[in-house]
Amino acid sequence: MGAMLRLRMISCGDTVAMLSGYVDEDLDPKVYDVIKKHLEGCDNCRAVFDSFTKTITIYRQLPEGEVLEEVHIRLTEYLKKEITSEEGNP
Amino acid sequence: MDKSVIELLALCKQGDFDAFERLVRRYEKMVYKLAMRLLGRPSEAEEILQETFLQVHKALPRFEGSVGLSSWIYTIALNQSRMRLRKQKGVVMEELDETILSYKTRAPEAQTAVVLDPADVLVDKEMREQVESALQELPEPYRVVFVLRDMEGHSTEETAQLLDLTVAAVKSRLHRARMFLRGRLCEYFEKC
Ligand SMILES: [Zn+2]
Repeated sequence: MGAMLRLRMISCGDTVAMLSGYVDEDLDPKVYDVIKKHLEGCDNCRAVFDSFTKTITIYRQLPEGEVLEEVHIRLTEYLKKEITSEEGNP
Repeated sequence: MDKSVIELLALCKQGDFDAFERLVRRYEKMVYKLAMRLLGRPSEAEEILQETFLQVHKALPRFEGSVGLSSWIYTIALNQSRMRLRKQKGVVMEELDETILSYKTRAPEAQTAVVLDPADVLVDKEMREQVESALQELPEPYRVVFVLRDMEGHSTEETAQLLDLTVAAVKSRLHRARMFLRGRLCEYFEKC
């Protein structure tokens, strides 16, 4: 791939394969620049890139599960029962 | 570890159930959140809560504090969730590859979706369900990497350590998981 990078050219397949490295900024700076250039000039890869980053954002923003008080109470009752019965029969 | 946790631990080890309940209260959200993300169903997340804290209670006498209480409980919850996850059926690998590769074959005229922002996806109930069920379709090795890395916010190195994988394996699974999910959500994006 060295020659390709010198020519600042990269295929769409290789670009998509490196999107994770690209969004995580976990690429060699030269490779990063080549991908950045490719994305600027390629509508298809840019569409993949946009939906790719949106997907990650969506999952990062999903609300966190809350422990309802009734769940906490059931949990505590369960633990109390299990722990007491275990101590009764060691 | 901070002083209040050390005191709490000492009381728990003496068999003080009220102290153990305070410990549960302190860490239950962390466990529940992880289990919900991995398993997707409140009933299963609740069972993970029970299994995790029962195991915590059993192993507490042997806990020496070398890793920190929170990481120790987290690892127990992760392992309990993974055991359960392995019994679930996700999509088969061929389908995973198909969805990942679909970006190559999707014709522009097939793109009928409306313009969407991630924020819209989260307020629309139907879309939310789609987003959540897409995650549940991911096979275990991919889902667990995606959840730890992108949803729980661990670094690649931490994820590798938690799952006993190489950094390269984490990166490769993360990419495939992200591509799969993107493929599943394609209909919601203007272009995909
Ligand atoms: Zn391209």
